[in-house]
Amino acid sequence: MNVWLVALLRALLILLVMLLNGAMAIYMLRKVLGHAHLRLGPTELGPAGLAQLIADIVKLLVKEDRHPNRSDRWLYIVAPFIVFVPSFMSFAFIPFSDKLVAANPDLSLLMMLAFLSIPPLGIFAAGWASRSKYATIGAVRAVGGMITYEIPLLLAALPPVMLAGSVNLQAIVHAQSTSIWYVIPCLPSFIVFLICAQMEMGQAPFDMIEADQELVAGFATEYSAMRFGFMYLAEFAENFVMAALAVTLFLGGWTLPGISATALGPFAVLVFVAKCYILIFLFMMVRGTYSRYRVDHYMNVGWKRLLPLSVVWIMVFAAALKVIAMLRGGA
Amino acid sequence: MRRPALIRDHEITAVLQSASIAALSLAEESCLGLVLRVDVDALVATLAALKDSDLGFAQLIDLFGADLLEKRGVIEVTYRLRSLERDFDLFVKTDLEAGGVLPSVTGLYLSALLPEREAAEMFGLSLTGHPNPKHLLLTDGVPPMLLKSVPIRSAEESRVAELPKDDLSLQLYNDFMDRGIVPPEDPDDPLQNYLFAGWISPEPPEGPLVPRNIRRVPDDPDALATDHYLLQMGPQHPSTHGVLNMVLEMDGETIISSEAHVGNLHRGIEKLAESRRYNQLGTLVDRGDYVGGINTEMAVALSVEKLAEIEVPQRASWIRVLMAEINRLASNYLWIGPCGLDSGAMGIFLFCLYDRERWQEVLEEVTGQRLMFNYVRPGGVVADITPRAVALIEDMLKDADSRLDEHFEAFMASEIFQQRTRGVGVVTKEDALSLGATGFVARASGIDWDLRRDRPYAAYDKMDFEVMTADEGDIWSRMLCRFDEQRQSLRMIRQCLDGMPEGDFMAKMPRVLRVPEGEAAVPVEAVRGEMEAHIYSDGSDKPYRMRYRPPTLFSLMISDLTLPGHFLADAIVNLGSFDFCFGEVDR
Amino acid sequence: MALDQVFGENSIIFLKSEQLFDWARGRSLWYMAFGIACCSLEGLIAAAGPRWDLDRHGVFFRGVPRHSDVMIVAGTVNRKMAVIVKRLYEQMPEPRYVLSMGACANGGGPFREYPNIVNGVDQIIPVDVYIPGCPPRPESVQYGFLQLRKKINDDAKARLDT
Repeated sequence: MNVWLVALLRALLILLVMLLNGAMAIYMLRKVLGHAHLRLGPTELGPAGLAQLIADIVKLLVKEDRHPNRSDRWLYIVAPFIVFVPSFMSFAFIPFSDKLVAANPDLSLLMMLAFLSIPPLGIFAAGWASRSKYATIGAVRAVGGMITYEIPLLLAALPPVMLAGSVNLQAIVHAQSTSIWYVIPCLPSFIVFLICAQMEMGQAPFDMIEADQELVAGFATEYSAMRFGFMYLAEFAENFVMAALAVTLFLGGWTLPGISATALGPFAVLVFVAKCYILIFLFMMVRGTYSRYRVDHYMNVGWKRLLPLSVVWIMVFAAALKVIAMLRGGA
Repeated sequence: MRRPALIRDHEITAVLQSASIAALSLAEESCLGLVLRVDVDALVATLAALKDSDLGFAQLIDLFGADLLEKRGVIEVTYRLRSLERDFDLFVKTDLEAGGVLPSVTGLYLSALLPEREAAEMFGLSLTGHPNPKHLLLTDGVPPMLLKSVPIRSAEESRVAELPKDDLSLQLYNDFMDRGIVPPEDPDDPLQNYLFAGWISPEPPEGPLVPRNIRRVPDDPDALATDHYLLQMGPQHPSTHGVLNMVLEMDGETIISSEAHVGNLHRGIEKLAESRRYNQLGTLVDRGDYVGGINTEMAVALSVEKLAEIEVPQRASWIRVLMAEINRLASNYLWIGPCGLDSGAMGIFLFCLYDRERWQEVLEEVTGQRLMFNYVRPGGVVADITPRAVALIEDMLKDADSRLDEHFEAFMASEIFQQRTRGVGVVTKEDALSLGATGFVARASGIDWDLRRDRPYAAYDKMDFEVMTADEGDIWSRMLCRFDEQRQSLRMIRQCLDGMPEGDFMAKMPRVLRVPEGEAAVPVEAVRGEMEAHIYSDGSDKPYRMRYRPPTLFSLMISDLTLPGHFLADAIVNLGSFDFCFGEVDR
Repeated sequence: MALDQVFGENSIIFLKSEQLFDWARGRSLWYMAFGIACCSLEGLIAAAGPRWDLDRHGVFFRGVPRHSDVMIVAGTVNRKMAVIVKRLYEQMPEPRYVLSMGACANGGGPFREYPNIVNGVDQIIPVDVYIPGCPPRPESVQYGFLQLRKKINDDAKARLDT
């Protein structure tokens, strides 16, 4: 078959997955937060309120698209896509199962993290282009936040790479299926990774960039209609990507302990998605419970806690690996 | 309980003599207490002498005017001073001519900052010596509303009254829309200050027309230079708790100075009270403090009862306490929740709403309304408590304490929240005193003062409860004080249910209540601090003038003063922690 | 001509899609968190709270006018506020709706005699649904939203019938 056609089909499939996930995650958020807050969430439209999403999306699509008068017009238009497209592209590297992965380059982990570091720039662009003071504060916070969490995030992703000896996500999953889930040897990394993931997603308690009560809606203050919808969707896409990354690196990806890949067959996808959604649920519960960090405390958490912790842990971990290898080699 | 150590008039005379001030008169007025009348020229000197004396008049509780032009041809301005040590209130009154000049006492008592502006604009006076003599509540082009010569709309007019086409605010709006840009930060541009363009003094203070605060961060020549910018927070902002408009001068995320602009909900409660009968006053004050209505109604009822010498039945007093405490509980839940929301915690907000709804059910069962009760009236209360209400309360008392603990555990024990609130928004005891702080703001700053205990009204003298104070004065201690208030309220509700005496719930009242001439003010510990309805009666069935002392107007000044130097995020929590209620601030 | 019937202004496709859009608009009414006075406790806070939970109907709050469809004018509008209410209304993207909640917003309420008050928010901005009461109960607000939904859907239906 034509290479381009295959690529196009794959891209469409990813887009579908991403939109479906976005819709599911928004529905889930409203339901989870609802029940966590003694409410019900959407119930009236469709079975258990499922059709609510369709109404929301259709409404956002047909709403008036406004441009603030003094906005930087082109940047304003482009910014939501700078947020949306990289989150969309990072979906390509997620190994849903043994076969089901849209793109599997050798450096898939690094590429994924690289793509994930682009959305904050889009957020900055969005906030800057809006020419609103609240949006600008949100934008500046986004950049400040990015340099805070990126380094610990990368460092936290390293121990599984050391164990598996590869930066290919699929290889890391395979390595875990033959040994144990890496969450056990790398528990501190896992915790750091989860915290950084929260920061990356910009969710409470780290929702500096939109901080409803402080910045009204932060970088998205001036966006309306589907441009806002895009950024909203991208947020939930990132939710899934971060959960998927955590699952892949630490929780065995699409595998289950004691069951071989062939036995799992098509259910591998379900296993993977279920694991991801359990993590997303965790994220949402945290989001609905805790107070927000102040922006300087947020930096403190990143620079003074997470960074030293992950650096020390990597050194200890590497030394331990070396010692074990030497002992094995000696024996 | 503390024993009141009365201040005798000879002590005050001695103070005045030592400062060589001649008072016009110093006399005991039947319903008010000791009243000192001074000439306007001697006003500042008198207050200074009183403040510096060992009588301890550290607080200016209230400042307001009254239009007595028809009676005596003057505008009377009243200063209510309080000595906490001696547990004594002194009224200092001075007379001004129409359009006279009011000397500012902000140098002595900071709490005069906003009330002076209000008094000046409402009675058409001008101010001297005030750091920021602008309109407070009204827009340009509105006459001084509290003058008797300014009429309210008639019934016909109010049916058709439209915005005048030449209204300045709309003009400025159209101007703004024509230009299609946000107001430039040009000090000479009237749009910049379009909401607050008018100066009430002949000459505005010098300097650029940027928001200013009396406490400015000094400029550091060595610091890296960054541009400051103005941030308009509100009136539509998720966490200004109403229609507060804060203009913040920001340096990055840090607030350099702030100025609160109020008046977006000004709807003339004090003016309209002059056209309502005494029984109808409740409907107005309810809409003032719209979260804790029963307490404010009680303030009006107590003042009227004092003037008219009405004996309230025992049972009515107990019911008042019961309902006021339930109302306080419900209202405090609506503070703990949003305060949590301001710090970013959604959960606690909805948990508190859930609890509030349950208490709201009791209020509705007894009063028939969810917010605007008009339940406490001169002479007693409107309706007896029903058996169903008692059953509801008992049902709720079963787990109320444990739920409160649960909220505390789930929310306040969170380390993030403590980080956000400890040591933030500190109000020192001196600031609290000089800014007229009352209620939980004062108690959190170490002022051991609770009107329910120190000047018991209704049946509070029969209640057994404690008053908690904290010394830090930060948001955290305000939170602790409020949580403790909740527990004490529950305690009092239990006591009320156990000890409720039998009898009538309403005294025998005439159909139309006429109140003898005089003045009365009974301070009441309302939910947000001290509230009092200072009523001037001229012997008719309507008050001649009613002053509503809004506790949160004074809190607003405090918050304004504590904001500089804080982060924007802290400012939000800090503002929330004063529990503003804009129906009350703007009246 | 036949093509015009399919794709034109009043064609069946246009009306059907318009009906779909109206269906969506009526069921996804995000209101602006903008409480002026007492009514906001009932119409914005209690209505979003655990007991009434308007989120069940797809009605929930956004902090920004740009994201919202409905503005609940919950309280007395005075001359100072009129400017802001109008400005907020114009900041909302089309289609936008206004619920006038409570006696004050409908016609001045208990404060109608005070010269600083705007007697009815409809003097400043167009109002879709009036909710009576002082303050209206959250149920009334819920009913107001249902009425608004009906109004939105009736528009397209009326055009389809003709």
